[in-house]
Amino acid sequence: MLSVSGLTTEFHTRVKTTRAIEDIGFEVPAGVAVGLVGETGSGKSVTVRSIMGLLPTQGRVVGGRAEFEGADLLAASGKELRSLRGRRIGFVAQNPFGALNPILSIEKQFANVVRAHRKISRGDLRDLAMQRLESVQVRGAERVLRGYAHELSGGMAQRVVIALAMVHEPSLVIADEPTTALDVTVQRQILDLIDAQIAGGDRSLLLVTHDLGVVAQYCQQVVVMQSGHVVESGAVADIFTAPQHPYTQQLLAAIPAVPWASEAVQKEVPIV
Amino acid sequence: MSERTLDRRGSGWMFVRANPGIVIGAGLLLLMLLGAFFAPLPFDPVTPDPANVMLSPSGQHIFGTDSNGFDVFSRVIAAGRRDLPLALIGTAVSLVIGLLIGLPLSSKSRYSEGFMRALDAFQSFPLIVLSVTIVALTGNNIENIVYAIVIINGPRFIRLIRGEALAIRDGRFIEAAVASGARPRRIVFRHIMPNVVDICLVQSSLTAANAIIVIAALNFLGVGVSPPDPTWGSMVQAGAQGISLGQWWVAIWPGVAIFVAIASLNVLANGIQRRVEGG
Repeated sequence: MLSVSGLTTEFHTRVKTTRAIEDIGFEVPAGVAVGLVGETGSGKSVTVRSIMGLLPTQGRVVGGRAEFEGADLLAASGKELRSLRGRRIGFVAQNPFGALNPILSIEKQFANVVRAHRKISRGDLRDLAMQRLESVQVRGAERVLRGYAHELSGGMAQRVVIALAMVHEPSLVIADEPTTALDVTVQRQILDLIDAQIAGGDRSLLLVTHDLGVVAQYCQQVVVMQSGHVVESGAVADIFTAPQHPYTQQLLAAIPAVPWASEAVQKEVPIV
Repeated sequence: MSERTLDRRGSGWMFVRANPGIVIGAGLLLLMLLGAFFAPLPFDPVTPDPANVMLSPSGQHIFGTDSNGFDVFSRVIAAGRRDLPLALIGTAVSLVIGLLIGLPLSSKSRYSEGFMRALDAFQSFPLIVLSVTIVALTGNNIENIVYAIVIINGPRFIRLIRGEALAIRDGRFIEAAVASGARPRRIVFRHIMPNVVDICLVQSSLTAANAIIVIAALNFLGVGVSPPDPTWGSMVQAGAQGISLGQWWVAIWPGVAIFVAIASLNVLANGIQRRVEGG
């Protein structure tokens, strides 16, 4: 499905050039959820942005390939890339309020996303948007459509973003830390939702996260990054039981133990 | 989304209470426009009356008469037929030019930077002098007044809109739009443009106020005037000599009209600004 190899990206400023990621390679097979993990600054986001062509102006992909549905995303023309983005590849950004235009109604934003790729009548658009919103469990979809981003809760806003990303039924979904900006209580719901949208069929997911627990629960494969390099990758089951690279071992060791397993804690914490 | 979501339309009275600036500014302007075109005038503004020259304000001629025996009040009101629509048209053209050039230039390419520097150079001219020169060279007709307004205000719109669009372009939602596969033109006109509407409204009122000054200045200099049709600028000019002789009324009243028009546009701009900022 998505096959990345030798991906190298640099950032240029007047005084120096920084290599943010080097020789990144991994596969996202059809129908598989792949977790891309690493600490802050390890190059996860740069990797995803390079693939999507969303680097800031100082960033430049200097080498490698990212093959998707027979095209190399890194070498594709603007037109080719635009026809794949949004239509074949859905993108869920980190902060839903950032990703939604503050002064367009949600319905208008559906219209923009749909009409970027095909013509649609107003009535059909409304039906489609309603159906998409309901599929991500947004209650009162009609009112949400009329409303604006600032009227939504974080969880609701991210649902809308997911619905927008799914409008064209993409075969690959790239989610860049989709729950980092959200309240912990809704993180799980959002992840379950993404999981449900992926489940069944050949749809793949590239999930960027720094949370190994999330990877263990929602992904079948994992790619571990550290300071711009892939240090380990493989099936989740293998890597969690027998991590080879010392960095992966440290990451796994850093997952906090479940506190309520300890009887001492239970006694100390008053039950409200 | 809460159940208490406000009904955006609200009642008319609520709007008046919440936006006094918009209501007063737009109301005064509308009154001047409607008056100029439809109000029954006490005297014909373009028929001279040699028997009643330079009368001071009285019950019959409330603003007095000028050296041709024109009724100043009728002319002040009627001048709005020329000055106000010209100001609005000039503003609209400036706005459209600002959007069409400023929005696409909001990419940080070398090309757009070059254009902006060229615009800097252009704006460093004293533009009112430049526009008078252009109008003088190209002939004395009404379109040229519109060009003069656009020469002065078009660059301001371009600069303002580009600056705002540059800030908006950095927003995550523009990145999301790119990720949705939108073409650059769609991004500019569907995703960015709605976000600059607010400032365009404010700037348009200010520009219209400026346009009224430009028109008055040009008319004062005799550009774009076709006697005996009244304009505020030419009336001030006609009455200017009389002020030292104590015949203040010929020049003061058109001046007051200019002031009221500009003040109401500024009040309108202020009102829109407040509404936009949610004050």
